Amino acid sequence: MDLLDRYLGAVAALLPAAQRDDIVAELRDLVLNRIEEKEATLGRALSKKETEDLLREIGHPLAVAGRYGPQRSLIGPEIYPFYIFGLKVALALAAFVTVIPLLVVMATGELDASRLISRSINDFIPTALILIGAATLIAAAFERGWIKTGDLGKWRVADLPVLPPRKTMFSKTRFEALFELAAVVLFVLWWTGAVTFPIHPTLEGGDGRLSWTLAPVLMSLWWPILGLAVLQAISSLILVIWPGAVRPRAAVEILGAVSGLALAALLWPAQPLIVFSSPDLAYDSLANLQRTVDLTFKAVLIVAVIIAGSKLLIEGWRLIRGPRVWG
Amino acid sequence: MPTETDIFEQLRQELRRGTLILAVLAQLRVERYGYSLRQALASVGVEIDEGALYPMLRRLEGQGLLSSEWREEDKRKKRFYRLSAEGEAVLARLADEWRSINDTLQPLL
Repeated sequence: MDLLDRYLGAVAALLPAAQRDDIVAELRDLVLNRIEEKEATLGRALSKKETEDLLREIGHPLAVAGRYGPQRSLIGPEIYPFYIFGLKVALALAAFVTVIPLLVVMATGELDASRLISRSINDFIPTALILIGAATLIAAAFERGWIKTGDLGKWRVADLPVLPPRKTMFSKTRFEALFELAAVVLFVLWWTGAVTFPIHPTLEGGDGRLSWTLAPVLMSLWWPILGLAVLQAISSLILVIWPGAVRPRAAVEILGAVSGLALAALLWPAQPLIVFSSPDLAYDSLANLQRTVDLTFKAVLIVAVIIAGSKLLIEGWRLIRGPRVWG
Repeated sequence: MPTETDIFEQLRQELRRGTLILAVLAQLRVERYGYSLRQALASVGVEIDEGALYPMLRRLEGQGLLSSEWREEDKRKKRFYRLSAEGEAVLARLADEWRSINDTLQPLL
């Protein structure tokens, strides 16, 4: 019975001390009954291998001992949806706290793009893992009742936020507006030279191997481009801090759209907007680069005109209609 | 992607889970030890894995529905289980519930 003792010893080591002897005695009886039943069927004693197979059939000591535990799952089905929601929030938070310092570092020009990517991954993973671990511990504590749900379980439908029936293609959430505001502010800082990025908005530049020259019209439109960015920032800011101000925001958007159309009309005939030259690159490579950048600018201008035109129509309608009351 | 058989098996397990407790309680109107209980259930067509049966017996005893005592039989110590008075009452209510569910579902199936 050496195998049986070893098996039961392994199970016993995993059981709570108070119930250990009781459960092991019962398991011993169960196994012996199974052995006797099999021996009666075969008409002989079981071999060592057959005994081992039978014990394996009963289950791994970890699984067998685990079935006697009071709790079978770390996070049950009641808590699970809240846990998943918490994980999503934790991951978004990890991304946020990773990206913001990196944007600052990037803005000050202390890191190049490749190091920036590796650093963002290096920063994100441990932060995300710590937050996921914390969320899991909290969910498990709720599951076991160590943390009482209290008033959390007494939610009211009337407390839920009022949302529009569906988000339309032309509507923007406050989060999107906040993101847009951050992007526009970064652009303004770059355009005014307040922060240094790897590529600067100067008339000419390059690293010796590849040089570029901006079309003079771009620098002569320095102030209008800055003005357009400021208008966009104002529009985003209105949506973030005062979402109900539909008409003021529509007015700013219309002003921005008209300015955008005017800018596009001035920039289109002045193409190419950037000219590359290099003493090292082969003519074909340089021509390819020039063609790609020219096409990109063309596409950007066309899309910008379409967006500005659509904005004129949509924001004009919003200016007339005013705020819409949901719910 | 789970197959139709996998889905059926999962649903069958869910369906059986509650009914097994009913069957165990019903069989323990007569005193039995774990192994003889499993044989008694198997003889009426209710197969139950020992890994599920023994912890279930302890849980039901912890809830006060079963009582147990260690006794020697066939030169071995065995733990005998039997329905407690509280278990009798709960079984009666569960049996009523079972019949009611059966009556409700039968015309639908």
